[in-house]
Amino acid sequence: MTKVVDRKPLTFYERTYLPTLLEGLKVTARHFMRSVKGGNAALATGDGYYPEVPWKVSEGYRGAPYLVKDQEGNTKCVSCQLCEFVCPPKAIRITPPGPEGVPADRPNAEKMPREFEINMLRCIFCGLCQEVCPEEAIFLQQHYSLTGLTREEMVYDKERLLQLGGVHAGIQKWKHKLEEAREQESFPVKAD
Amino acid sequence: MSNAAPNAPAPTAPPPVETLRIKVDGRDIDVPKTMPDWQGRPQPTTMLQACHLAGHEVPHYCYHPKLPVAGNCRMCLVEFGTPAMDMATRKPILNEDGSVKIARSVLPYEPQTPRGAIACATPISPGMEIYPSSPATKQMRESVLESLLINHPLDCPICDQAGECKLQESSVQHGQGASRFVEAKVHKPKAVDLGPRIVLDDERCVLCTRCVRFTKDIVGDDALGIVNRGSYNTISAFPGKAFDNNYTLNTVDLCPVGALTSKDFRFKMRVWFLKETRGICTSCATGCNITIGSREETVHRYEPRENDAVNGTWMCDSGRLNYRWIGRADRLRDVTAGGAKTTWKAAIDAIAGKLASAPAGSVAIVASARQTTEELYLVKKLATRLGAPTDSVPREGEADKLLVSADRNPNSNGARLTGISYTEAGIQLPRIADGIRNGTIRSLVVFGEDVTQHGIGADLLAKLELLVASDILPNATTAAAHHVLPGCAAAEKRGTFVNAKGRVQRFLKAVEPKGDARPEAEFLLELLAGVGAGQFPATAEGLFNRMAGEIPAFAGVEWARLGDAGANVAV
Amino acid sequence: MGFSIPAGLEAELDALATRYPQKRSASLMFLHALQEHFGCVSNEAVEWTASKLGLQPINVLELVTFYPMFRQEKLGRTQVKVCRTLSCAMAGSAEIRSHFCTKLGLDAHRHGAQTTPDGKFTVEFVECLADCGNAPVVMVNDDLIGKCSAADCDRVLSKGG
Repeated sequence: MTKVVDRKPLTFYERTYLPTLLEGLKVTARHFMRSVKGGNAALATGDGYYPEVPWKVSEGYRGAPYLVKDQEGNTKCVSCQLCEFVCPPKAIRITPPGPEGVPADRPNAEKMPREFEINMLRCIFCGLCQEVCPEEAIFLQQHYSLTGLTREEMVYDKERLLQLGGVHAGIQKWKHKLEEAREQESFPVKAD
Repeated sequence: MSNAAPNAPAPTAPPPVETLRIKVDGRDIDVPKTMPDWQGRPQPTTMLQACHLAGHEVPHYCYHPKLPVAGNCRMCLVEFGTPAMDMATRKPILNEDGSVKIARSVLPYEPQTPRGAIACATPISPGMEIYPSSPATKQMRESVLESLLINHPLDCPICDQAGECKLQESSVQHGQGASRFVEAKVHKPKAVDLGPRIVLDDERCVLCTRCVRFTKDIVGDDALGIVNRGSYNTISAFPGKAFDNNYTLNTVDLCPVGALTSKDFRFKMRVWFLKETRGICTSCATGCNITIGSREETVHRYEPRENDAVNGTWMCDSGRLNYRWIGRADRLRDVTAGGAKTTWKAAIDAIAGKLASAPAGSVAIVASARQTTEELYLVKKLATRLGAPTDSVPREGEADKLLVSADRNPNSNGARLTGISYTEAGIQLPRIADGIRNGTIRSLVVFGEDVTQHGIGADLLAKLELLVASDILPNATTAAAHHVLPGCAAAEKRGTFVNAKGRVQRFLKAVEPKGDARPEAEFLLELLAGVGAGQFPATAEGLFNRMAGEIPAFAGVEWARLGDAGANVAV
Repeated sequence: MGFSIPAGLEAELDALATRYPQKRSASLMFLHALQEHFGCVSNEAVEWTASKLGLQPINVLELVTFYPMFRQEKLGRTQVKVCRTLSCAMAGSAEIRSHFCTKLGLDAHRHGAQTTPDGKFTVEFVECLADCGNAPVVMVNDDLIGKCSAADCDRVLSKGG
């Protein structure tokens, strides 16, 4: 059954409008003065409010995916395009080096992307790219608030992704292979 | 063809195929006693072929139906059994229930029982039982794979073969999933320059020798071999000699792993992104069947598609690499009239108006034997309506022993059958040139050819009142034309070609045309309607079937029945 | 390129080729003869053999690289072959090879046969010399030295190449 709530008619004081407006402004002014004096109410009571105080995420948080470099500052991505293939919203777009492209910046890896773009407007932070990556080159990191003024700005290119991604020190597979191959070039002789 | 004369002798029934009864995975099957070998000659049926007939694919690397059997990869090892024989009496041993006892290779092996054998090179025998799914077979496969993977670098992320690699596929299907090998792998040369179009990665090679056998036995250029010994075996050409015949890229298709890769396709696109479209190579009159690999309206590669009536499983390098022009930046994209961009409607109306009012005999048409049969049929209809002489441009080169034809046009026979050109293509061209010179021909319509290269020079073109040029890439003729109609590459439309031997083959559309370009058949239909030459079906199927009904050589041929392999017509 | 076959040798080899039902069967005999004459089988010799026997050079190169007895580089006058198969390896053949290398100024870290710049000595590891009871075994040209010691090595070296 519908309950009809009686709407109380406004009193004369309320109908004059301005006094209530001023009441409201008083609250605003009080907070303003407190902020000016450095006594933000929220800061005083706890951790603060977003966006003045960015939200601290826990360690396992999976935010925006960025590319990482290895401990020697080389691009880890070898442009295998598995992330591009697996990406459900088709946010990732890789331009492979092609036959004439620049070789990888570390020996033996042979290959790295000419361009690597993630459209952050499309990305759903699902983490499949990180899961599928055979090179540990892409990680969901802690950024959750990505902003931009244009759509183009939200397409992050290789430079930006690498710069945001930072360094991930892991197993240097290709370097290890190269070292193993170099070792085999010389005949093992017992040191005497 | 199908309409045989009534007094012709009745076709003799093929001789009955002699069969053997064997068992595959416990199921009886009759298989022919002989089957064609790599050269098509009948040879005793092998266990691998028998298993294939029984619907069971035996994994393999070195075996290829079109190459001599080498039997070196051991991947196709299967367990089998043969009827047991009493060595003293030479009589079959029977089980208690009276059936023939099968001496089966059960691990551990009993004396006088057969061991597992390679299915690719072991002929079947009466009463044989093959167990391609038995535990022993599985164990053999796992062991062979483990051995092949011992020194394999597993660099799939940077390997172009990934996604179409038999080693990947077999490892998933038959492998152990883990390696017990803890020592260092043997490292071999990587990215070796084997020839102008081939890169070799020795670490990935499984030494199946398919490439060696292909270039020796199919191409007849014995250029590759295996040097060194044991773990250091490598595929190699003789020092200082490049592996550079016109068929080298077939070894890339043959290579079951990523050892041989194409320089053209190197690091260009991962194969799982490629859309595969059935096409026909346009580089010569052989008409090799191809698979066009494209992604997002860009053609990335051509690969041969099997058709034993035309190209087997091969194609030449020159044809395979002849695709880059499709994506060229200077492709004709706009319909232009007098150099200014216009719309299709305006252009077709203007051209149709001028052609319809041209006096009979004042128009000539130069078509191209690179056009589809359907387009040539429509061009012929236009020519008939206008009373115009037609011809196509001959393109001759040198033939080779394997596939390349001396005729470099893909559809010369189509041009002949539709009546565009005569037995000898190009004999009308001088007459058209003369007609322009003496002023009888005042309008010229050119499809896909640069006539300035073929006897109708720029000076003659300047004399014309109307020059309509439809082409794909800009040339001297399109530069001189009053109307330019941008056309399509074969990969951008559907149609048929008739090859040098008279095989009609259809091809499908892989990518969208660039800019405003449209398939020629589409605007030819509008042009025909505009000059009052009648209505024609708007689809490639409809056009082909209409044409097949009109031209006697195509009698009994239908688009739907062409299939992927095509059909023969009398040329 | 300086590759020429003496007429006598060529005639001898041509006669040899006719003794086989298939010409290519004579490949090994050709290579032996050429190695005996030149000291090694160079790429020119491989190409010459191939053209003589109607083969492609790569076919002959496969043989040359497969068999250890064929050399693609000239060897020294004294060939020191140190066995490295199990018994000898356990009895210290690696040290013996290193000893030879150090004394001759060769790089013990390099794979394969090594020849001194003066062409006197070649030192290399080989597989079993079939005298495992006397490990470690070294073969100097055609002489076998069993239970080889550093002193034995020095004696070989002191004879000069």
